[in-house]
Amino acid sequence: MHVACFAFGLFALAFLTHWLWWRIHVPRRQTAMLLAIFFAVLAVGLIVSPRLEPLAAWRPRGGWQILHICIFHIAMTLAYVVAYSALEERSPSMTMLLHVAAAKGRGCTRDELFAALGEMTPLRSRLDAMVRDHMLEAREDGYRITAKGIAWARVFGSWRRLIGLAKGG
Amino acid sequence: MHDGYPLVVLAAVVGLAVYCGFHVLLARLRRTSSPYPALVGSFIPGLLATIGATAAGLLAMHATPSDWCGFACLNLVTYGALGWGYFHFVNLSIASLRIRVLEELTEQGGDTPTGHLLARYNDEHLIATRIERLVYGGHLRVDAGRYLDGKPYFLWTARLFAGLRRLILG
Repeated sequence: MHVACFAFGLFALAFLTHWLWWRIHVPRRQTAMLLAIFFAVLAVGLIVSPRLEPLAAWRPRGGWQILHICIFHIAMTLAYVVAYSALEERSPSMTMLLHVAAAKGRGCTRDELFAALGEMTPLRSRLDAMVRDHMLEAREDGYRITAKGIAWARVFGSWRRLIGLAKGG
Repeated sequence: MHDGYPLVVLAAVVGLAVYCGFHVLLARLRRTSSPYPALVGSFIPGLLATIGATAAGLLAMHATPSDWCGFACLNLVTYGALGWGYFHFVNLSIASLRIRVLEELTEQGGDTPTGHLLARYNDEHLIATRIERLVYGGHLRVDAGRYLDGKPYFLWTARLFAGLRRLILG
């Protein structure tokens, strides 16, 4: 039981650190900073806990317990980062669903759905995000894909072909 | 801790491997118009594998009831997180504009003029595609030219994300 308590506690501490940080200042490269915070809390927690007497009953004992905590923490961190990408940028699909639900049974016309999205520019905001994340390089006349962008395209493209799907987007 | 503990530790990873394996098999064997039934359905065998591996490990450990409770909870949450990650990894291949742009740029040799991208993926077309997807997936219904609530699952997700957004970003 102590392994589960330690793992949940450490993740809660990482989330609290992130939440407090974001209340003070939202960083420019949000995903990179999220990963840095969550992995730093994991490392610091595992290093410091054997030296803290109040945690004596809860800290991990031995390599397998440390691995168990790491698997949980990494899985939760990656799941949160995936979810966070939908918080960072408003999704047009979710915005439209919320707008229709807010109409309480009256529904919306197509024009009203377009109006609900207002100034949302899905392509421009995604291009900006990819430049910020170093997947694309903005040039005077257009964009150039970087090595990181190519790697991402290859990973997703290979898996998509493996499961027999056509290109999405 | 006894011999069964390594199996308990790795149970969620085993579950993820089963989920991915089943999904690849199902997606290749049963080509349907929507890729989601195979993706969602394959979660169940992975979950069963996680439960089975956890239970086998705990039985070998002669675990106490509190250990059963703690480890089962930890492994189920871990498998849920890994499954959520895999679902979104595949969903990005299906629905992400970013991945599509990256793939097309790679195929075109790496460069593209802004005008070409804006013409190919203009915002009106992108939004219209998303409305069609919502209707096709049953998340919106169309009645006499008006869009109405459909299946509630995606709406609950949208509400959850709206709440999280308020909590975290203010």
